[in-house]
Amino acid sequence: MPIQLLRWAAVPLIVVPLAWLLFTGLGNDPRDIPSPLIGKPLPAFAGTTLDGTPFSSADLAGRPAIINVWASWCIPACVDEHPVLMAAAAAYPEQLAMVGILYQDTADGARSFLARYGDGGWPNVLDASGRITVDLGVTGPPETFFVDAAGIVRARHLGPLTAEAMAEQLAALGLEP
Amino acid sequence: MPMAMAALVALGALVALEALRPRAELTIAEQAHQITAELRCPDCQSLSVAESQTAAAAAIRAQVVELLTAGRSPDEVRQHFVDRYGEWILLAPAAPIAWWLPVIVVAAGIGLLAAWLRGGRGGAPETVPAPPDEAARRLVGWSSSMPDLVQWALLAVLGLLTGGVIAWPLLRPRAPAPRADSDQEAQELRHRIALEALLDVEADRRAGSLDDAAYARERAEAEERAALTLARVGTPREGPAPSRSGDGRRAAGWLGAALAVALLVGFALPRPAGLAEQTLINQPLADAQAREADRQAEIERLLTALEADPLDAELLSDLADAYLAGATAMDLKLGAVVLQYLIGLEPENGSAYRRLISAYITAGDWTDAQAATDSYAAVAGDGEPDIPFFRGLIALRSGDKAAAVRLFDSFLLLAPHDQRSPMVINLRAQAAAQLPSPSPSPGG
Repeated sequence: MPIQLLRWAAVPLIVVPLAWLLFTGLGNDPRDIPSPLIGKPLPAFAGTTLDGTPFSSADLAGRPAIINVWASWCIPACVDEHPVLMAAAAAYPEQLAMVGILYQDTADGARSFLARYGDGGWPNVLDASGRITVDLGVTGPPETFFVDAAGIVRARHLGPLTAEAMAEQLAALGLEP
Repeated sequence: MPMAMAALVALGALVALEALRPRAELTIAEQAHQITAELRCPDCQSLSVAESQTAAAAAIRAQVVELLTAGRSPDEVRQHFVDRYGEWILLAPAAPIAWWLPVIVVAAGIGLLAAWLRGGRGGAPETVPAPPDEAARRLVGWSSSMPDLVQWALLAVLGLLTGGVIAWPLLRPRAPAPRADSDQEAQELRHRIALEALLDVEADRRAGSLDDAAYARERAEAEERAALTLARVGTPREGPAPSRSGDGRRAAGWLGAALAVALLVGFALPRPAGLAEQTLINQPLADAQAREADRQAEIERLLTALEADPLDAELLSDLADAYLAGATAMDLKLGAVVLQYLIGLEPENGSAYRRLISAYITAGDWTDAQAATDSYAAVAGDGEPDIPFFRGLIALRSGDKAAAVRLFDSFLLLAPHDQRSPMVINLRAQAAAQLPSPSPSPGG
């Protein structure tokens, strides 16, 4: 009798976990994987900004920082999050360091984007070789890293930033509205 | 089964030998291709870095070559990207369970299937009412009993262990050191990358993404790097000492191959020195099979002898015995045919009648048993104790208890000191106990 019971129980025992696995697995965003950089120092990088001045990640030290990976062709996501970044830059002109990393983009494209949607004044670094975005483990724009004053990566946001997400991340970095 | 085992082990030996085959060390370009083929392109769907044409993939490819040229091992290069993207960047899962799970599931499936198939054979003997022979009963019974399952489990464990020993060196991470004479090639590759970087700067300049100051600086940097790499082309580079990790792998490979070959030789050797035949087969089943083979050989011999002399009663008698020693309904039928033929030759052969009637009773064929007994009675007369004995047995088995009691009584009257008497007294008591009203005991 117990063997018979076991035989009947075997089907749901196998099918239910498999169904659950498939159901939850298919609902996941394949890009949404935790960044291994969280809790580690920001990888050092250097490059040239849109206006031709050299920029190094050392320039971010001492303040909480936002590193925003974007591209002028990244529409509408990068356009959607642009006002959120502008607002943050305006709210914390001194307390917060910001830098944009251009992902597979041209200087002209980036300049016309900024002319159209507004230039917040933070530096935007060209990454022609792709080295910086590979070091950051970027899978595609927009992607935003939040780094604390000690230079440790605290969070990564995949996709366009919303005002709520920005407020939450800034609060985590110790910047109260 | 020993043949299948030998084939399995031979396959294992081949796999081990393939693992041992000396391989040419890889050049940096080959290593780079191997690594990038295992890395996920970050901005594509289901493409490796090696296959993808995106800028991110190109950047990773360049970085892989750069790291390898700088003397980093393939594992270090892989880790470099895992540190940045996470395990996600690896197309092949790093967790061993992911590789073993299908193997385990298939092994379990084969085990279950085998158990089910062997267990299912227990249904076969239903065609024979009651296997008369103890050996035959065991032959049928053993196949569905527990020790077979234990054997299969042992076989599975042995197979997995052998496979594990053989596979272990294969699963070890490989880190071939860059070949010493590939230094030249490495430097050339490095120089080519520097030249490409120079071209990139030019392309950026033409695309307008660099202003004059940035262009001048990047152009100067790229030119310097190209000059540097060009200078190194042709000068030998002191690389890391040749890796010794291959030695352990090779030793393990030899061990696996030696084990496989030893098992193969073991299975090829006959008993008792070797492992072949019956080592893992249960002994009663093997004995029963051996007896069955002997019986078939004996039948073969008797049939050949009878072709020369079809009227030899002794050979016919032996042939009937050989058939009746079998387990199946067909054996009983053939035995009966031979006995009928023998009775045709020797109408007064009481032994032949007795065996014929016994065969019919064993097969549960009451009608033929009755007919044969009637023929026997016609030959032997009513004074023969065999007649009431068999009639009593037939009556008892076919359900006529009252007749059985009566017939056993007449047997005991005819032959009170026969060696069958104690058995008949028992059978009579059985039959009497099942009667509705008690009947008088013999002689009472």
